[in-house]
Amino acid sequence: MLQSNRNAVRRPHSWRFSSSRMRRGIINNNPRSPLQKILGGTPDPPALPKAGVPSDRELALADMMPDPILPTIGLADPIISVRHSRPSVQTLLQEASRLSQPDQLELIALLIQKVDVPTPAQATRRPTSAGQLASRDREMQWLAENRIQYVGQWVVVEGDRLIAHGPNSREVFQAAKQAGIEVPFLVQVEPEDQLPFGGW
Amino acid sequence: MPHNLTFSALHLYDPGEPGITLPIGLRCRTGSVDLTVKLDTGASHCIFQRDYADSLGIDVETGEEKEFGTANSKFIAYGHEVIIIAFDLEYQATAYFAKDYYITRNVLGRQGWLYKVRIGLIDYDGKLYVSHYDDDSDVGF
Repeated sequence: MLQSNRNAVRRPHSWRFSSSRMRRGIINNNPRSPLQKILGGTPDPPALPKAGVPSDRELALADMMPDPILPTIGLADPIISVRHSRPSVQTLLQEASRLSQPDQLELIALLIQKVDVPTPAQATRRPTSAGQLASRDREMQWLAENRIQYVGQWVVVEGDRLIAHGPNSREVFQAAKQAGIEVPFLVQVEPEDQLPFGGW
Repeated sequence: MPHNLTFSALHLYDPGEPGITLPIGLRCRTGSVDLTVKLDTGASHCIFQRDYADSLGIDVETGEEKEFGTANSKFIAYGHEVIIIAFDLEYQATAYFAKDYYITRNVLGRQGWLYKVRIGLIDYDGKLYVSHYDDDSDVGF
């Protein structure tokens, strides 16, 4: 009885495993090459339902079901966790080393293509490691209210405080740095009645 | 046929001021500075006063020399790689710093900024809407 139950509940694991391997392109029984599947370059073709074979949707649902064999300790099924984790470079290298030489060359070509293709903005968009731009609303407000006193001068404003001002931008900037301002908001104050900007 | 766009950021500027003024940050290996610039769709590049290069610790003349034409004159500027931060967008770009100190304009132009973003402008209200140009979630044609 117990054995029969165990067999019954093991089936989803077996499907899950094979479906996982199919999704990763290791078992190649569809027109996409394994390399394309690893790289995820093109979407999967729609799965055709076959008699006796669970559909992708059924497999996905089975994946989400808790495994009654495993103790219910509140943790995710370890197989599911591993499968959903991002494969390491080492894992991918190990898999790639098992490929034939032509397939390895194809992999290299596809990887190069994938790296080279990003759009101009994607290629130049950077993470925020350089530091976020602080909101400068208060500084802009200060400038609007006080510009008349400092026309033509360089000012560093932090919040609604004037940190430094003077005719030499470098000296004003250095004064702000010495005052402990990490990223000075440095502006040369324009006169109110400045001639309209004609553009470049 | 109506076209809809959505944006990730809205900047309110004073429509009474000359030009569309917005605060940005310039970052490079040697320093950081925040400043105000004018948005200029007529400018081919992002161009800044030489004073900002000095603040960033950039040796201006070591950059790529480029001559720029204006309506009635021309001037020299030098290109340097910096990071331009505006709103929540951060791009590596070549910024050009004017050779001469009397050039006192700071503009965000096409190369380096405008071509990387999508903008919507309601100048009458002083509203500038901005998004990264290919933010999928923002496309609403």
